[in-house]
Amino acid sequence: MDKVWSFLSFQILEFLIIQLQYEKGEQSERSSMLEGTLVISVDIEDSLQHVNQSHCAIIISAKGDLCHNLLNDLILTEIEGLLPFCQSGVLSGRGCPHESLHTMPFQLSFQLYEKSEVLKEDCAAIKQFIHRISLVHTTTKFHYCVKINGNISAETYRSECRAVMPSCDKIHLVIGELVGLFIPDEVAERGFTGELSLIPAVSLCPCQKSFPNQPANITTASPTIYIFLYDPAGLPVLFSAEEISYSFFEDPSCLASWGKYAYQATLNSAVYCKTDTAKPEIQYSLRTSHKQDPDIQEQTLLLFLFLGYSDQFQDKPIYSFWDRRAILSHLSPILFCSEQAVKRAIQGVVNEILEQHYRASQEQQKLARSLPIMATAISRIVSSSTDGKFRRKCLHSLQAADTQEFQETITETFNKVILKQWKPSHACEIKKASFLLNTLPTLLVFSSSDFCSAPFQS
Amino acid sequence: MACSTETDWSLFTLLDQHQLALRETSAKPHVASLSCEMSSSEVLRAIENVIEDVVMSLSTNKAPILILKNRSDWGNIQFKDAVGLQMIPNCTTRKIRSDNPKSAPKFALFLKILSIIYKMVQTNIYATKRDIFYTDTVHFGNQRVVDNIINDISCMLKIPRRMLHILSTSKGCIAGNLSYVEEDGTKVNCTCSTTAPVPSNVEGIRNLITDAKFILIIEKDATFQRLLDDNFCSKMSPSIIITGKGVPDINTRLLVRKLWDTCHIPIFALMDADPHGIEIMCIYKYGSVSMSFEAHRLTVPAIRWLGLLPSDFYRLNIPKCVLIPLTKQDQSKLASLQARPYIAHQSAWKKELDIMETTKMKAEIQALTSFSTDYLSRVYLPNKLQFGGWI
Repeated sequence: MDKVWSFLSFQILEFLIIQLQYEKGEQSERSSMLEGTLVISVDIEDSLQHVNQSHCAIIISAKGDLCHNLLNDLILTEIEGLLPFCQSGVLSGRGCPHESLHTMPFQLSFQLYEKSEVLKEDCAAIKQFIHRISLVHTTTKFHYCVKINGNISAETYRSECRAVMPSCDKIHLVIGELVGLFIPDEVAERGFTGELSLIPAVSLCPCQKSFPNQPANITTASPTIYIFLYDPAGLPVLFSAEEISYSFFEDPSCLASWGKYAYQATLNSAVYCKTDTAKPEIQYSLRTSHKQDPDIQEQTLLLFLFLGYSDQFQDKPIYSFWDRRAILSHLSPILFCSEQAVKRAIQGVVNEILEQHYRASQEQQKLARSLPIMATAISRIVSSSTDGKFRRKCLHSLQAADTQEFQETITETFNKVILKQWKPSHACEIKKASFLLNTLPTLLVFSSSDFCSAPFQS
Repeated sequence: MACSTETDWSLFTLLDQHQLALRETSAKPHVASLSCEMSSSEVLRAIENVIEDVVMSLSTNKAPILILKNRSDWGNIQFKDAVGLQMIPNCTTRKIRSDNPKSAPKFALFLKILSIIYKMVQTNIYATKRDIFYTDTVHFGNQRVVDNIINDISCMLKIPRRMLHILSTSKGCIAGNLSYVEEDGTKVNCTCSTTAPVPSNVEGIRNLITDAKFILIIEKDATFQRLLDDNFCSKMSPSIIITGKGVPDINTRLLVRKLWDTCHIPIFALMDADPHGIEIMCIYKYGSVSMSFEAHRLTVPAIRWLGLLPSDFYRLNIPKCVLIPLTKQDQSKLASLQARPYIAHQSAWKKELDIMETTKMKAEIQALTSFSTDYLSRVYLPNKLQFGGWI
């Protein structure tokens, strides 16, 4: 088995997700809501026979409604042809014990020997891959479990609405226009017969709608623009560093009129990401002439690009594992073929959100500038008043010992009460998410914790 | 009579009758003009109450709000024959939020001006609205912002501007048979040939003395100067002429009101026969919507319209070449005037407005110079006064 094991795991997952996504076409529209759990269990044990190597067992199992789409003879035969190294059923005694893998109707597994370091790196890559898939396949619960020499660590990914008040941790996407993409000859020659489209969606994260008065800026301290690319099956595209440098996205001006909003964007070819957040395909850094206030809430710009697939000659579009390979290996030529239309669509939606952000930030500044005037006026009256009862009442209300302290306290109180004020936002209500379900090619109810680890206000 | 130097007042029986009628009416109880006298400590307390509410709100983690009466909403105005346009007791209000980016600057400037007023009242210093504007031109932006907030403060606290230690700049002029002592002790003797500026502290005027038979309010300064040049006050002595030079400032209105309260003599208005002139006359007589909360101190419902009347166009056979067609703005203003509540109470005025609406023509007072340069002072006004040509 000469392939890297993580690649094999990707292949299995890709195959299964494509099956799940495109089998639904045969059934009613409700089938897109098929629920279930997909468990990816990695069991690594140091090998006694092979020095510096570990034995690794991968078990992929599923339960729930989604099994109906996987447990059919045709698919199992296809899996055997495509992935001959796999075997049905659980490897006895391996995998994460608390998952009761043996009770799951669908099971696939394989095992191999690999260097311990390679296995650890690949575990992180698989985890990221699952995290990315989970973002757009919202009805499926993805459970990822790693056991290394008996030590278990597990993560469950399920994108769902989490209305944790008072802060909103949802990603509110502004959806752009759908653009049809030309298919370059080299892709068509590989047997790709369908039609491709692209829809951009953009959001600023974390959501500030419930804190409309708090000054916010697109952060410039670290990479601040993330692009997430998804293929028609809702699988991440996963660029390599070399692909990014020569990709369609090399030039940041393809995204927005940065200069208009006093920003300068530069591509980060080495994609960095925290382990607990979803890894984007592309990252940009921003520089700005805006004044950076330490109290300003920093936001990250997320751009999702969803490829869509259709085939007007077939009732049920068949998007296969091989189509994905063809698209992924030619993604840049595909995008360059429709360069102007793609740019227009992306710029349209990114400029829109930058404009909204700019206007909101102007309003916030107006408000922030007014507060010291209010505080000064009040403290002047209180400190110059000769009415002891009035002064005592004011000082007592804000728990200030004297007028000097009152001056400081009133400024802080204004900032606390007004700038950090929480207001219920209609956009943050759960039902809003259903709009996205009907609009986008995939199911999207993201949570901001998937993209940024900035602490929320409480 | 036109050529006489001394007016034979025995011929002006209608003027006398008018004066008697006015005195009878004014003998009836009416709203006192100076009913709002407050001490400085009461003014300070009123401001402190506003501040206290703001601080209390903050202490309970609530963004403070100011509740202001909708001064400029016709829905909050009632017309009273004896007072003019008056704010209704339970009028609608609007909230100025401190947590909304659109209203926060106004909230802040409201508190800022409140703190300036507080200081001025404490230290017994007076300032004009212009002075306040210049204390912080960057934040105030323009004079109108300051003017509006001061009116809102005055309306909210129910305290006249003067008691807030805000002086209004005067642009009006007065002449004729009148003498008085200003608050600072300055003695002012108006004559028929020299003008005096309307004082900035009308409420502080003492020892107001006049033998005038009538007061003539003149819309425009040019007409006022013309009458002075023509020696109108001497010819029609004793009398008083006053102008607010267009839309009158508060002090000119206060002075007209003070003269009325003191003398109870007939007051007439001489305006251009156009919608703008009529509106200015209505401000003197019935007040303005935005200052309706102070109507009882500013309006003089006893004012009568002497001229120039639209019916004069045909009565005097004014040449058509000096009449001016109404513009679209004039027609719109005229329609708005027709809809005002006081017009329904003034059938004679309504007829004049109807004439203007029908003829679609207007005329300035200067139209009378087409007869002769001194026609206004020599013929038009004496005749109107003698034969009761007012409405």
